[in-house]
Amino acid sequence: MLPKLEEMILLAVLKHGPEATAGDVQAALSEVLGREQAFGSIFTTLDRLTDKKYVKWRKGVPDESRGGRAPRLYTITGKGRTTLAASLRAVRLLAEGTSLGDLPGLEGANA
Amino acid sequence: MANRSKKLVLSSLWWALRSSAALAMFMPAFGYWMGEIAGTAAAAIIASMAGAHLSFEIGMKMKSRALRAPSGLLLDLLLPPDRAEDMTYNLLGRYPHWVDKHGARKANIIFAAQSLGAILCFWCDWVLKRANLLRWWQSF
Repeated sequence: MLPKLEEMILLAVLKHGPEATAGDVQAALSEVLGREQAFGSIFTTLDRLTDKKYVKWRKGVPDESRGGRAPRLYTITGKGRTTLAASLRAVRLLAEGTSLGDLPGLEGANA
Repeated sequence: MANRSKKLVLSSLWWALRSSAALAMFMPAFGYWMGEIAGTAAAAIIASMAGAHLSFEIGMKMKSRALRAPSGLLLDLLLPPDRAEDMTYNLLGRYPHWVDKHGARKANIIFAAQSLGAILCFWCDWVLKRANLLRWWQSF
């Protein structure tokens, strides 16, 4: 079972495609949660996920408009994908049969 | 801010003129001690004018600084180079969104707060990792 933030960040990386930056993840989380997410927690969690080998990164192309700096482009690994699927399945199983299964967005919980 | 400082300078000047005119009228009648009072008052007026001018200058400087986009110098100074590069790239990428949403001044404050938060998180995590390593080593 993954911690909630790690789960959400893995989902954001997966959703954004093969090469997501920390900025893409932060923007996705801020949009979903409705408040500005702290970059510090995103960077730290991405580092932890890299240590656990759930994501891997490679250096991107330097951007002149951002002071010639290059981003880290994150991609979810096979291990990360398996762990995320298992974690989401566990949450769905726990929600099964509860009143939360009727809430919008959790239609699949009782399936 | 600039208009307020200008007003302050002009009003100080106006009060300086009025006070000196009033003191000049009464000085011959009251003698030496009046001259002392006039000197003190003049010094106070000059000091207040200098203060008003200084506040005007500081206000102008703050205004020009607020409109300048951040450079990420704090991140470069306090983090390892490869981490600072990625963090600055991402924060600078998000900066235009904050400017559109909150204005330049607040966007700069958000940028600084996010930078400080990122630095704190990085070093806290660094310390925790070492502490865990120490605990693991002590378990043998």
